[in-house]
Amino acid sequence: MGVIVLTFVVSHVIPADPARLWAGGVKARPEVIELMREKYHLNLPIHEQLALYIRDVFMGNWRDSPMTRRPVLVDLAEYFPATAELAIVAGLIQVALGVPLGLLAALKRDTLLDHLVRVLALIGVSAPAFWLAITLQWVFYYSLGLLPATGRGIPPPQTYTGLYVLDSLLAGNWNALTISLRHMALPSLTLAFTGLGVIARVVRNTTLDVLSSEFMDFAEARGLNSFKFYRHLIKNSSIPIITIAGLQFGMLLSGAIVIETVFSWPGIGLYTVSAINSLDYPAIMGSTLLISLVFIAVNFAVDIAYAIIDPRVRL
Amino acid sequence: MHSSTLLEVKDLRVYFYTYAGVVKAVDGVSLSVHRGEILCIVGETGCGKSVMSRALTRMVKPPGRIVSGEVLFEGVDLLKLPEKELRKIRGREISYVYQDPGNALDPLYTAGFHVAETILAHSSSAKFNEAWGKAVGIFREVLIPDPEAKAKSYPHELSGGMKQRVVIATAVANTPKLIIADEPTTALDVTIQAQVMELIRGLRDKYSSSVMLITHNLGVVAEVCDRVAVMYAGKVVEEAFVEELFTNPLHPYTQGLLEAVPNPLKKIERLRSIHGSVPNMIDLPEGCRFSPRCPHAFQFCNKEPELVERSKGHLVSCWLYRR
Ligand SMILES: Nc1ncnc2c1ncn2[C@@H]1O[C@H](COP(=O)(O)OP(=O)(O)O)[C@@H](O)[C@H]1O
Ligand SMILES: [Mg+2]
Repeated sequence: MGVIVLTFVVSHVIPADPARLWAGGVKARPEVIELMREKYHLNLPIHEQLALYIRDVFMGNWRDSPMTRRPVLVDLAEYFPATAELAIVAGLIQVALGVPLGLLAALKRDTLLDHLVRVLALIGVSAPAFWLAITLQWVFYYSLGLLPATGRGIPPPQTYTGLYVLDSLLAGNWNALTISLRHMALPSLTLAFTGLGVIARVVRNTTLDVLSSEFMDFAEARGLNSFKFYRHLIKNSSIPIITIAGLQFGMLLSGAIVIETVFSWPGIGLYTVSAINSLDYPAIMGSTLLISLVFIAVNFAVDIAYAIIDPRVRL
Repeated sequence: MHSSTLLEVKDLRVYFYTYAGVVKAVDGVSLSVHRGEILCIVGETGCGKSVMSRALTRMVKPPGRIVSGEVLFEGVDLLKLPEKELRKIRGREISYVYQDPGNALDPLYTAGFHVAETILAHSSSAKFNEAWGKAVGIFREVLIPDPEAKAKSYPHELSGGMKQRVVIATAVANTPKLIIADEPTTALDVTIQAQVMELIRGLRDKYSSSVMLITHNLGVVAEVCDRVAVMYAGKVVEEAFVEELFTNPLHPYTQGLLEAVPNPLKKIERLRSIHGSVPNMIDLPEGCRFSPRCPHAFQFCNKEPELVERSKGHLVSCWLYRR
């Protein structure tokens, strides 16, 4: 609810006349402009516009997009899976590389590896994503010709989820899978890299914290073998790691906007950018709302994960 | 070596290499533990008791390092054993009871899990269910009421005294030959302290394990110990049977300690404190470490005295008793 009000206000403070733009720009006929004003309630006072919008959102009517002339929900259903796929793959890469890197850095503290992870984190945070994206495109597409630079490739013949990689797998279509993965490679790596080092650093510091705790010392004093010892270590480290992974997933979704623009990835980021360019309020609000809902869902999932792992936490 | 000697420590040194300098936490400790006895280690806070006790199974983390010495456990030098062999000794032959039971248990696992896990770690055949059953049995032995339910409790659901009983249960789970209890009651209420001490003594009688009991409470020493080793600034300065130590303390530091608390075995008119303070462990005094605080210091004391047997079973390291 708060989210709805906020997106509404933010998108409506832009001083411009959207109706004229939506009706066709400077040469638009007055009747058409008036029609647009009627359709989107632009004649009403702003608080009434808001009330109407809230009612409609809850009724499942996220309005039509003046830009695509389709219901915003339909647009979102088309664009969101591309973003979700990108963010999920990037997130998996981050966890799959970041967690072991962080663990190793902690266990081999103050060695070359530890310093490398520190540098990696620094570069990941400070290098602009678009610069990295363009560099990778230049190397792997332009110079080496190894990977495609833009787009998602062709959709697999069957659509189940809208996630091309998953759909190709479900259909058992290896050709489609290869195409999807090759298109996925550069954008997901770029996106993953921005947060990889941060995850590795958090994992490292968390692991060191847990390692220095008395119960790990006592675990050693009880003569536990490696498996039992690391079970205590990893389970206790997982709590802060889940927190940072949840936060990072939010970062991935917002980071996707830049990445999608550079890689022409037809996701919600690209959709929002063009919506902003055409003052498409319903589309801007719709996509912001959707991203916010995903954020909330991820936070909720993180809370549930806490409750499962830590007996001290009760929902 | 004494026939009933279980553990013999010779000239053990553990240093911490910190930015401020080398902390000589343990600097030439020699002592022995006999089978079935309770040996108390007493000494002021910071004199190296905990570090020494952990170094016995090489549990020293950087920047700490065991610099030299021997720890002969049933004749085998633990300091030379490969890590894998040592792991079989920890928790099975030599087990620990830590000072703060609140932090010794992993908050994400149940009380029973800790004990079962410790059993499984040292058994190649046992199944988890068997180990769990044993754990509940041990809970009963360490007098935990309602052991089945308590085994399923998480640490945060148990009181401090209960948690310490759980820690003790993990320590006796594999009937070890030596239990090292590092100030096991300091973190507990006074009423619980006596119960836990009683429990430790009862378990020693039952399993005929040896116990190294670290404490700075001389009341506890008089009550439960068979022998006592007094530590000062990283060294053992006196070792004796408990009655002998209380009635005939030789080292001036021990004498000072006994005058500083109500002596259960001897009447004294008034309590006195030891003059001065514990030395800086980085910049130790030359010669005898106690000499700057010692009322009897004389010209010999600028050289380091050795720990020598003065009468049967009574060892002291002080120039007053050398000719
Ligand atoms: N990790 C460490 N780094 C530096 N110094 C340490 C460390 N652990 C212990 N020490 C030092 O070793 C000395 C002995 O400590 P400890 O064995 O814990 O004393 P206590 O007799 O109170 O158990 C103290 O002076 C302490 O400052
Ligand atoms: Mg201590």
